[in-house]
Amino acid sequence: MDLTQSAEWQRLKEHSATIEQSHLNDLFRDDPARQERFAFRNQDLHVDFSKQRIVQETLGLLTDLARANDLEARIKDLFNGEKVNTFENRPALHSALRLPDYRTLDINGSDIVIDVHAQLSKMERLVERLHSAQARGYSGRPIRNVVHIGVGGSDLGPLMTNRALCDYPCPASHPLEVFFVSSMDGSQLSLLLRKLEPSETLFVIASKSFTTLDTLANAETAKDWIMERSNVDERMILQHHFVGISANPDKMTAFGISEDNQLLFWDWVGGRYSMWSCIGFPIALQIGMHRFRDLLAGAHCMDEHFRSAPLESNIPVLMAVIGIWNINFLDIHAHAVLPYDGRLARFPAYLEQLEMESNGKNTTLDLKSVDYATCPIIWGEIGPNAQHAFYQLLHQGTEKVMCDFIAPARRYNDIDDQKGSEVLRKQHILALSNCFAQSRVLAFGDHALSDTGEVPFYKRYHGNQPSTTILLDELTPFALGQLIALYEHKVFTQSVIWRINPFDQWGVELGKVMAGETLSVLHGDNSLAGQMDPSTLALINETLKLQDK
Amino acid sequence: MKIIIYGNNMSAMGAAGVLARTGNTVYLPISSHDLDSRRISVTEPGLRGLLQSQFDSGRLRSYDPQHPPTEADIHWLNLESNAYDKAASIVADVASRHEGRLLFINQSIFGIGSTSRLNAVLGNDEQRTVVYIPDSLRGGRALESFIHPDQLVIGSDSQWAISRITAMARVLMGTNQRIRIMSSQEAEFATLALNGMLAMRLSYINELANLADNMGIDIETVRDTIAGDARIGKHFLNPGCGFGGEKFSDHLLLFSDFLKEKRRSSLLRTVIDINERQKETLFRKLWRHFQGNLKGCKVAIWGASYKPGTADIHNAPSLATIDACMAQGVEVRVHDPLALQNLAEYYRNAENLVLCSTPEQAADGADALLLVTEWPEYGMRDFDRIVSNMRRPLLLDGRNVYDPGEMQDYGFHYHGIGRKAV
Repeated sequence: MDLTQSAEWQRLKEHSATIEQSHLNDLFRDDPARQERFAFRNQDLHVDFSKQRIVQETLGLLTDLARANDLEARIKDLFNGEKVNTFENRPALHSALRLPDYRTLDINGSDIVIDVHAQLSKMERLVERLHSAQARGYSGRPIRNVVHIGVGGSDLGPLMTNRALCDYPCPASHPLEVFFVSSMDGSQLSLLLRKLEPSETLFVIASKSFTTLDTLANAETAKDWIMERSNVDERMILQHHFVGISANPDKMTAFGISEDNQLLFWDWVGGRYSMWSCIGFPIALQIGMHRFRDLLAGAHCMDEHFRSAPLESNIPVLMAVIGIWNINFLDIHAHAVLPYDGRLARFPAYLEQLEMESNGKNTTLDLKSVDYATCPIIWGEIGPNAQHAFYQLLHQGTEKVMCDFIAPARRYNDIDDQKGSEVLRKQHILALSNCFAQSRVLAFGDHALSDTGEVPFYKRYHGNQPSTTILLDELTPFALGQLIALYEHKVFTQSVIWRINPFDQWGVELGKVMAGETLSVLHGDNSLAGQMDPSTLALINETLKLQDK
Repeated sequence: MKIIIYGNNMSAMGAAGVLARTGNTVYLPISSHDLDSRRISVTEPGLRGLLQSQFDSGRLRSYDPQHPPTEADIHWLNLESNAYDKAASIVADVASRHEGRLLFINQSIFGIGSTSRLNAVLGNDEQRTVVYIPDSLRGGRALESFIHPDQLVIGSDSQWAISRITAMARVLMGTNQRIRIMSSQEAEFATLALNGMLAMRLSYINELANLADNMGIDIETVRDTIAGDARIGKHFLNPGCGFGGEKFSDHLLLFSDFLKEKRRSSLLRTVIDINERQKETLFRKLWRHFQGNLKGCKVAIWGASYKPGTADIHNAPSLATIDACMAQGVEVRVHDPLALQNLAEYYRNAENLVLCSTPEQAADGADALLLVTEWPEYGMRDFDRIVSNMRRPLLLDGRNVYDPGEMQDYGFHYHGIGRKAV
């Protein structure tokens, strides 16, 4: 039966008509205990859904919908390595990347936990070598700069995480800096190379397929740069200045990366779910291997919660179904991610990929067009900065928006020797006060004020914008691991109910093919120009004209 | 006099030996048994024998560090640079048990102003005082440098303490001593400044040597010219593969941090960084020679102590070289006349480290020979035989001890520091 025709969906439809009548002010007035009823904890995460436009009945109907769509069985399939990525006929086993080494998971007769930990150990040896200043460049000097070249899933996760955990000191015996380069046009790379000493620089080429154009273009530029300045042969440069991370060892070898410097992951790991594999190498380099393992442990903790908790208290499931409630029943199609901690600056961009590349789909698993909305538009920014940018729209615009507020409760508590930590602590409290204030105003509008008095109409706030607040006890590797896995499982749960495949991304393929064609036209091959639309052709001609000048 | 020594480092043992020899009753927190069982490593030539004989005479006595003797004429502090708190607690403890005059001689440096802080613990009382006397110990000739320092610096404002110490110095060192009296703060400053000056000279000449290396210029010629200028002189201008030693390095770090904090100056930090890089200079030459493929190579190292004449390996360039080689899967074969025992303890169970009882044994079958510490006995060997027993005749001279032409005649492929390779 079509999803929207199902009894569960229809019941939610009816229920939504009553909820649409109520303002969040009413919901709080009618249920004084909702802040307890709708708040959940898993280890270092406290998740509060009470400012969502739901009542107890809503959650019941939503979990009914989830059950009717076999969510529990599908969760089992996910963890057991069934081929949940149906269109590509393979499992999606990012959860296996964080299994402790004493666990086992048989896939096609082999225990992949052994492979996972073998690669982690290989990565650990590389990390230790770099940390102990015993990885050497062509001159024999220790490597001090690591440039991670990757894009998409090979970039966003590590980049976000390294920023998030920047308070943790790098455990290297000497100064070691990790940089990220992703942009295809080489602008990030060329800017960075000006600052680096080639004999002390290591390039990490991260690409699941090892065919990603953006990454390989940057890798070639990096190789040229170091060859030109070193005056030693290519073999030596490749051996001592390049590490590869990929699911395609043959391609790494063809590039010239020695086997010792190859870190592997597998086709059953989706790119945007790959930071838990050796793609996390730059994370381990920056925070150390044991903290990287804490990150894995945090994610594993959320895995265990997701696979075992009943749907009614399963945080990723609740987050997912409340999202579906907002999107499909309350007609909200914009989702703002608002961390109140500057270290989480890259978290919105990370979620943009995780959610939109996963669930930005319009075809069901049985190859029908969906007749309901799927993934909304997700964007975000550090909350306090966004207050000075787009919050105006959240408060007084015409779009309905759902928000996730994310903040650590504690910060700067363990920094004894950092001068001014008291002042910094005050700044953190200031940020928290803004976090709570904004979610209040969004929910309650002017009613949040005790006395609205004679306020002119243009100063009024309607409120009733729903939000979830996620409090981390502290922004530790463990808590961050939990947080990311929470969203991963939320995305999976939504895909199950929407009946779409969250693990492929065919929508990005055509553009790659077209770019190839366009490139040949830009290079002067006119044989394909005939198939091109006049708009694009005109742009190309204009560009060629300008380049000749 | 009755003297209690606090601390068990080389300076503490040196002071104990010499003070006991001149008739004092000296208490040291090390027993004759510790020396025998080698639980305490004595890296100074002659020191073990001196201590043993003083124990035998009964003037040198050991005590349990938990229960120091109650009374003494002089309390002598020889602690590590990071042990200020320990010093303060010793001072407070002794003060609480003693009425009347008290004399502490502090030879430790915990930073500039730390002796003043210790005096504050004593209530800044003229009669109960801590005097700072720089530790003039020089590794390899500790006893000699203790008895005959170039100058005796006394950092104190207490007249009776100064008189007592000058009288004692006359007995210990003879009458022709150059004695400089100043505040303890000035004395601490001067000690660290002197240390920094020496380090600067070494890093400067090393940086010049590295430059010369790439230009086909012989640094030895340049060095002789600089040293020939009377304003500069010849000391501490030998290019080489870096300097080490516990006290020298600790004090340099201490002063570098102090300069950084007070003046935002990175001058000494740079000096230290250059030296740390310099410690790997032989390794880098090796690396480049073998084009980064060192796995399976055998490398002989001559000299492991941080300088000749001592068994001390603290911060020695040999350690950086050995670490770097082992990390590349190189078999390292080391000879040192005194330091092998310390090396064995430092690298417990290292698979790729072979300790050799003769220089020839170390070089046997090696792909390269690295001279790291210029012990005199490495100067003249049967090089014909050594070359013929090596797998590859590569000689990396970290102290520019050998004549490049002569070594070439033996059949070596020779690299020095800042010299043209032959």
